[in-house]
Amino acid sequence: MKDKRNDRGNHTGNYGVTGQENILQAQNLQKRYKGFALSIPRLELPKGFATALVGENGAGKTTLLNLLAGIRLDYKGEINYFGRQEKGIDGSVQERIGYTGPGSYFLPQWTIRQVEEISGILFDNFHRDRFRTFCGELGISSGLAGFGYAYREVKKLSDGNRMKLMLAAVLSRDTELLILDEPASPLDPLMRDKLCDMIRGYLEQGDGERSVFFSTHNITDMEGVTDYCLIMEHGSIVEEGFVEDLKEKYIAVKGEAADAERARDILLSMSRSAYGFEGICLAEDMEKLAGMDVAFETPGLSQICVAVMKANTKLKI
Amino acid sequence: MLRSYTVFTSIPYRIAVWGLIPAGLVAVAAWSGSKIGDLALVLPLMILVLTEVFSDSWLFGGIQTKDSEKIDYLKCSGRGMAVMSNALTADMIRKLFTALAVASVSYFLIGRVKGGAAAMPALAINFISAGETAQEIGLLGYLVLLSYSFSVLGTFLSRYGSTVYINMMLGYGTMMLAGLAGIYCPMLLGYPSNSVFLLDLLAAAAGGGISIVAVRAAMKKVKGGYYDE
Amino acid sequence: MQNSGVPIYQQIAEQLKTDILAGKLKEGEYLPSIRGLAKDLKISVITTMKAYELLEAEGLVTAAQGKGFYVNAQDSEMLKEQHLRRVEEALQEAIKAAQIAGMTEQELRGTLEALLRMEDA
Repeated sequence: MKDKRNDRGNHTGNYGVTGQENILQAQNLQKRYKGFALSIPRLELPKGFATALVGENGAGKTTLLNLLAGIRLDYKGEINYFGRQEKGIDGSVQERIGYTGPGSYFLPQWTIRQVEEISGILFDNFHRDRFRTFCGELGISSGLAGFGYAYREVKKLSDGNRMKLMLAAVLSRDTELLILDEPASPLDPLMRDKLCDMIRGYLEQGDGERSVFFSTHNITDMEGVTDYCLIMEHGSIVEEGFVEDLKEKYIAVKGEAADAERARDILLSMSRSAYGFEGICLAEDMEKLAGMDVAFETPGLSQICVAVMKANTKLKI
Repeated sequence: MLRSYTVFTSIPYRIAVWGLIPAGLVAVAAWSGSKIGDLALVLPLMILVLTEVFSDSWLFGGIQTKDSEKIDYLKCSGRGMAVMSNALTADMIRKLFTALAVASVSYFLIGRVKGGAAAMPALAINFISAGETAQEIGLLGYLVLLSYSFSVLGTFLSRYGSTVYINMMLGYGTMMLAGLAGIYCPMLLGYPSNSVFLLDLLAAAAGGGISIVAVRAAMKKVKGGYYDE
Repeated sequence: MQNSGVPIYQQIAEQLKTDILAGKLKEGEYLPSIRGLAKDLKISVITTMKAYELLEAEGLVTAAQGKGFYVNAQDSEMLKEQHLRRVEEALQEAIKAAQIAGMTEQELRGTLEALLRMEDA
């Protein structure tokens, strides 16, 4: 796990059809709260891909996303967007970014129609027709067809519908980077599937020029749109890489109960039962399991994330 | 600036605040003008203070509360803060304009229904017909500025509260104060006299001062979202 | 010791390979765009990319700068080469597994022969 930076280096040639570029680059990001410190020496988001941000509650995901979206300015460090010469964020950069977040986003007394109006003056690249299409498609405040829907207040929307409204607002703009803080959490399974479709559609339309950065706890639901994965613990990034590389770096192991004790030290995470054990280990440690009656599998992203989180957590689990 | 403001207003808000409420207040003035004479002018302007405080909960309600709305969406745009500041300022100007409109229309209406004034009880102060034209205009200006100042004070304070009860208390409280100041200050200074112009100055200074404080307080809160509070 | 579950990128590569070898995708024809295919198949961009890279490594397609991947000329010699390579790869995999399992060369040969006989029967 130590040489994760090298991992990335190895693949810059591999995955870049046109040479791997970054959409965003940050150095020495520092942010302190009481009892929490975010510290990220270097952060790079690959251009043209969807990057997932995974980590425990309180790991600093929201803080990081807030810094990157420019809605929180009290931090140390440098962020460089879209390969520009200038550091930091300004109106022209924000025009190219779409952000949705779990906190107060719209004023609760705004109606859906007002959200449309306000978006129109906040952003040059906002398309009203697209917004209305999204609102209809996503069934925001369903049951209120036609006239009614537009005058629904944000505070009267369910969490799921509020999320859909935020997505409709950002996707109605011509942006190059979406920063989505927990977009899947308030959505039902069907809508999560739709969210994944929307992200893939967004990337497809960009043809390599658009990128997405989202945080999630629902790794399994989002794996189908995750190209690159960042895992955060205690304000730092503890693992990162393209998903297909991570799936080669880690391997899922299943074995007999008799070998559990010996395997324990080799595996990053392990769960035991009367019948045997299951866990994740580094592919490079596979040989150490020789002689045991074990089966290997390509792990799911969720398994990898949980293993890395378990290896880094302060929780006693 | 106007557009920054209008986007903050919903259709029901526009109908109510730009249409129904002023019309209703003028009607009140016309009705009360026939009952209690010139004093009737104070009444619609008092009620205006109440409606301003109430209707603000539709517009910027609760933005200064402790766990306030950060309105992240505004922070996502380089223009967000300017739009917000423009909207807050435009709303102040709109308040002044509404008070002025209600007062002038009512003034002319009451002037026409003077018939009732003749039969007025002793308590009533014959505001309008008492002074010179300039003094009358001065008094009208004073009542407008007073109504405006208390409206702004009420909305400013009510933005710290998020419950209907607090807003009601503040609305009624500022309304009563506006009424008292509207009637007694001119009386104490011995209206009709040129002292009314002094009241104009004081009310204008108070209104301007409170407006600046109100806009700044709201902006401070909204901008505070960029930083730790 | 086993390695169950074929990764998605391999499944996609196999499918495309079959299409190419069967002539459904003709020489010079472009494969669907990476992000377009990802969208259609509801999988991530990186998985699609990996499938395409697999095909490229096998010499079935070529990456054109900024334009995507096009199908190479497939001659019979090359087809045979392809199959041969797959056999080699699979056998190498088997040898590796056998080593980890501690099988002797004799045992491995025995297993292969047994499997061949099963196939014939």
